[in-house]
Amino acid sequence: MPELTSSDLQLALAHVRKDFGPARGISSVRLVSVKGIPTIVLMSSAPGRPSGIPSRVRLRLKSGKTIQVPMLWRNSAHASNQQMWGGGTQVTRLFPRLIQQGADSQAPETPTGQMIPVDDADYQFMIGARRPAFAVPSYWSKPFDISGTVCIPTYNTWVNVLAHQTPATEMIVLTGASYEFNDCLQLLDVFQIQVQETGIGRNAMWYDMLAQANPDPAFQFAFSGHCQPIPLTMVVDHDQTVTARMQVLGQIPFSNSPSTKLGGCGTLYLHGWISKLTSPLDVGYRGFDTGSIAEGGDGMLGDITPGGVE
Amino acid sequence: MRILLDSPAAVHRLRTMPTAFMPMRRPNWNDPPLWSLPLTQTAIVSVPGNSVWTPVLNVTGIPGFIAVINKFVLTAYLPNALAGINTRLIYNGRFTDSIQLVGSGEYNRTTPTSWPTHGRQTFFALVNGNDSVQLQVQNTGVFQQLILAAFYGWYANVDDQAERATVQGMGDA
Repeated sequence: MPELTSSDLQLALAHVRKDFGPARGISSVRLVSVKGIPTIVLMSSAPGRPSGIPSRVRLRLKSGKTIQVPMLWRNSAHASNQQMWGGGTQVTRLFPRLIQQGADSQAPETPTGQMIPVDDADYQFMIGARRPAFAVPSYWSKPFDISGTVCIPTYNTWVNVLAHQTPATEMIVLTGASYEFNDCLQLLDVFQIQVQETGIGRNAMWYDMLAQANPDPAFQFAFSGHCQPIPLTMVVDHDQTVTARMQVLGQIPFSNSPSTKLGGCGTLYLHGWISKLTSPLDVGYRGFDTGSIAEGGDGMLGDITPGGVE
Repeated sequence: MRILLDSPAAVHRLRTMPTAFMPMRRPNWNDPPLWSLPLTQTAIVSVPGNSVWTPVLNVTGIPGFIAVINKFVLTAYLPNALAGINTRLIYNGRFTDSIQLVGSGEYNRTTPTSWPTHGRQTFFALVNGNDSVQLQVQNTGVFQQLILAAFYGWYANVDDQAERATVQGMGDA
């Protein structure tokens, strides 16, 4: 395989962006590496691969040699485990910075539109990098604090308190939960909370207790309060629904049955943030880092033909 | 794409690339990955006086996941009621010699009389798919005690072969 330069690849990428850009419904064109093989990935919201897109493009290098670069397509709206492996966060620019040599040093004047001349080791890289949207809030994130209230007529009975479906273009990251009860609990009454993402077998379920008769509901319970919610690490993907339910067991030892009258209401508050999966500026899919990328094992690129590049 | 930075020209090429992909992630035992599951587990257990060692909390791994516990709470209901309470942590049926839960200690309680407890990040345990961590309490006093304990964290998927090898290597150490 001939030696590739970054300018070769960037030139190829520019051509592909020009030829297979928005006119064919392509929302994103990226250049990635699969086992060291440069590969172009097109993304669109169409249900199938758009017509007229070849499986590979021929790239003529400056050296005169020609190679073929595979061109893969993926559906940007689909978000299965395999297809969400969108690679890393995108660094839009690499800024060369002059290493200051002393108090007398001054950055050179850079003519607009021209590259800074680089001919020695006076510059260092400054790379903007983002952490994934499920780990820290992205720029387009919003606070997510919802609550639900339900009447709890009897002990030892699960009652659904809230349900919330994540919009198709967003993702919710829950970080904590807190609660209040009104005319419901006595001191040392134990209750259970369960938070569940639809279709996920493993839920968060915990016990808590009315620990003190503080008039401020933020300081009444053993494990959670509005000022310091109980830690809850949960990602609710787009189109998924988070549901929550609660039941009151009473004091230890639990002797109440589902027929034991209780009354009163309980309110559950979920805290976190909601991240947009699309940019409100270009309404295009903005891929984000979804986890580890094994060397050459990127699931999103699983349909590449091994050895398909000359 | 492999770019060797072995010459000023190569450095220049990388420097002048208009776009690049730069994955910046913390490993799944530092940050919950996208496909993680919640681990929020509490226990409120009444332990009688002069008790034997009593399991209070138990976290078992899920195949394909590691349980990452990064926050911990241990206290009793009444102020200073932990006097006479011994605690220990059992990892895969064995004592953890690196973790000594001193008796009569409050863990992550703001003050002995204030609620709620606060799950601070003072604790770290990795539980692989076939492993378990259990918190046990023994009450050497005469009166029964109401023990409250919590583990917080997440279950991180390790379906990535490269990362699984790394994780198992750490967990087996």
